Amino acid sequence: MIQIQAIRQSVNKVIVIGNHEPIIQSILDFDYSSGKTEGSITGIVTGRRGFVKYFFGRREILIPTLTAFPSLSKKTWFLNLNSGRRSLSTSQGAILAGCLGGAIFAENTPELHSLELIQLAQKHSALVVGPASVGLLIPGVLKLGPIGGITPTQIVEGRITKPGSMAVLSASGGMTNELISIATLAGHHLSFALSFGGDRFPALSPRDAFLLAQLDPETKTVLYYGELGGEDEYELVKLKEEGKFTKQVVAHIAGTVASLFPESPQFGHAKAKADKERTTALAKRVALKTAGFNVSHSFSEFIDLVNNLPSEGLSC
Amino acid sequence: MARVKLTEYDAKRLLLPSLNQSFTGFSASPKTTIQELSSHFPGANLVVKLDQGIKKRGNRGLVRVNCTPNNVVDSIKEWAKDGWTHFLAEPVIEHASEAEHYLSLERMRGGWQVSYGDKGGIEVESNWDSVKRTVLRSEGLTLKEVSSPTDIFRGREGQTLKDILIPLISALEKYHLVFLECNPILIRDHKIIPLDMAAEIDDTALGLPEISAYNIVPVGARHASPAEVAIAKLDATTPASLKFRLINPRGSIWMLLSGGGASLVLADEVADQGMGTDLANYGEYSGAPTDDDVYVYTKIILTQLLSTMCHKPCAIIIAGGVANFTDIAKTFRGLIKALDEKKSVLRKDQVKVFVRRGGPSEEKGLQMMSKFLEPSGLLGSIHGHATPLTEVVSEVKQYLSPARSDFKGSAQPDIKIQSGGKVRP
Repeated sequence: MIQIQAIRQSVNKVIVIGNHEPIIQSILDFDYSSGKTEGSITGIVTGRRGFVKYFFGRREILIPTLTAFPSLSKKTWFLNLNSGRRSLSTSQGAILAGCLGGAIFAENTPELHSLELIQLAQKHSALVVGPASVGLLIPGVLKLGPIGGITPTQIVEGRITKPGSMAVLSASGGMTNELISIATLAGHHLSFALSFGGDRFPALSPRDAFLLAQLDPETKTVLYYGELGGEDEYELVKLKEEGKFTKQVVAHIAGTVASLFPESPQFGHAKAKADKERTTALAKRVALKTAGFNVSHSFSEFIDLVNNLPSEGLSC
Repeated sequence: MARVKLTEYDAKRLLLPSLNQSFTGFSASPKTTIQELSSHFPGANLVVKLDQGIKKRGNRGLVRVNCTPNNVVDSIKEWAKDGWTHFLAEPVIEHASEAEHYLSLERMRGGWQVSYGDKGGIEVESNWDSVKRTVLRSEGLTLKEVSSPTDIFRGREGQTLKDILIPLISALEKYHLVFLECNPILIRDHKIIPLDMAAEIDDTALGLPEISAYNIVPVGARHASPAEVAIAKLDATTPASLKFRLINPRGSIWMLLSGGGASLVLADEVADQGMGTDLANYGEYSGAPTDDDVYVYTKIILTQLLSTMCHKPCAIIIAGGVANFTDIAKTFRGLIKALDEKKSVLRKDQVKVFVRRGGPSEEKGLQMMSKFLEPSGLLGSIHGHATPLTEVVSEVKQYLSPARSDFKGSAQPDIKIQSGGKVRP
C-alpha cells in the first residue's frame, strides 16, 4: 500500500464515479489554491459520454464524462460518490483498473460488500478509505472527497492547503472537519487527514491509519476520534504494546451517554452501538489510556489537550 | 444502516431449511384464535413465547411450555395487555436439560466468531467461563480456524457441529445475517436443533433485490413513543438520516443535533457536566436533509417538548460540528419555520435556544437564526465554528442553574464574518 510521503511525491490524478457538482468543484478549488497548474480530476464516470463544465480558478474547463471506469495511463485515485448498494460493484472496477486507492462516500454499504472490498483492496495493495467516509486529505497535494469543506471560504479558512505535522484520523465525517478546525484554530497545520467512516468494517482500519501516520516522516502528532462499538481500538492498544506505534496521540472516544439508556441504543453511525461491556466508550478509553495513549475524559478536555500542545508557530 | 434484530419466526423460517429441517412455527398476534392454532398444530403440545427481540424471556416469564391452543391464546392475551404484539407458537421438543447446549456466531472483520458451550439453556450465564471461542473463515466449501485451534470440534457432537456449520454459515451469508445465538440448542442424530433463536441482520441489505424477496421486517424490542414512531416513519421516506430517541420526557434539555459524531459528543458532554438526568432526548439529522425534512422533524420534537413541559426553564440545543457539505442556511430555514409556529408558547415556557454550527453557508445560517431568535425572546446564544463545539453545553448549564437570574443571553452573537478568500468570482 502506498505511503503518505510517496503520495506527496507523485502527481495525483482523480477519476470521480458519479457527478456531485459541489464536491468536484471543491477539489478543483483546492487544487487551484494549492498552486497546481491544472486540476486533478481527469474524468467523471456518469454512464454517458460527453463533457461537463467546471471552474479551475477563474477559468472554465471541460471534464470528460465516461461510460465506465477507463484503463489508466497515469497514477490515479478513485472517488466513489455512488449509493451504498453500488459501492462494491463500482469500486471493484476502479481497483481492478489499477488505482492507487480511493475513497467511498456513501453510507449504507452492506457489511458483506465491505468485507469483499477489504479483501480486494488488500490483494491489490490499494489504499481505500470508507465506506461512509468524507475522504482523504493531504494539504497542498490531494483532496479526495468533501473532507475539509466544499466552499471556497472553507478551503482557504480551514487552512487545508498548507502542510504541517498533525494528522487527523476520525470515525465520523463531521468530526473530521471539527478536529481539523480545532487543530488549525490552535495554530497547527495538517500532515494529512482521513475519515475511516462509521461503518463496522472500514476498508482502511484505524490500525492501518495509525501505521500510515507512524511511517509518515511529516507526522508528529495524531488526533484521533473514535466512538463506542466495535473492537478497533483494541488493535491500537496492540500496536502500542508491540512498540509499532510511537508518536504522540491525543484521542477521544465518544459515547459514554449510552450509559443513560437501559440497553445501548444504536447511535448515528452503523458501528456506534456497544453490545458488550468491552465495546463501551468507557472500556475503550481505559484500555487506550492503560496502553499509554493520551485520552480525554470529555470533549472539552480534548480541546484543552490540543490547545496545550506546543504550536508550530505557523500563522494563517 | 446498522445491525437490527429479526423475529425468531423470521430467523427460523430462513435458516432451518438450510439445516435440512422443516419449520412449523406459527406467528401469532393478539387476534390469533384457538381454531387457527388447532388446525395448524393438530393435537400438538405447544410452547408460546414473546417474539420481539427481547433478551432473557425465560427469566421474565415470557415463555410458556406444555400449552394447549387454549393456553396459548390466554398467554398472548395476558402479554398483550403490556403492549406486546408479536408471538411465536411451536411444538414442544422433548429433551433432557443436560442435552441443552449454547451456540452463537458473530460476523467479525477476520471471519465468523463461533462460541460454543456444553452447558446451555438458562444455565449458560453461570457457566460463561466454559464457553469456548474460535474464529472461522469459509474457504470454498470448507471452514478454516483462523484463530488458534480449540477443542470445540472434538468428539462426536463436535464433528456434527463442524459439519453443520458449513451450510449454516453459508446461509447466514446468503441472507446477510451477521449474528445468531441459539440457546438452547440440541445436538441429536447428526443434526443440530435450535430450540430458541435470536438473530441480527445487516439492514443495509434489506433493499438488495436478492433479500427484499423474503419480506423480512426487523423488530423493535421496545415500546416506542409517538414522537419516535413519527420520526422513524419520516426517516424511512427520505435519503437523509433522521433519528430520535426519547430519554426523559420531563427533561429540560432538548437537542436538535446534526451529524452522527457531533451529536454523540454533545450528548456525552451534557452527561459529563452532570446533567444526564435533565437530558430529554438523543437525536440527529444528517446526510443533507431538505429544509422540509428538518421542518417536520423539528415540529414533531417541539410537539413532544410542549406536551410534557411544565413551565420550568428549558433549553433547546441546536448544534453540530463543522459540516463538510451540509448547507447550514438550508437546514436552519426548516428549523426556524417550525420554531416560529410555536414561538409564543415556547417563550411562555421559558425556553431558550442555544446554537453552535459551522460549515457551508455558516454566516448566512447564523444570521438568519439571530434575526429570528432575538426578537422572539428565545435567544440563548449563537456561535459559529470558531467557538468550541461543547461550549453551548456550559452555557445551557449556566441558564438552567438556580443562579440563572443573571442570565441575559448573548445579545451579540459571535458570528465571525469571513470576507475574501473566494477563489472565483
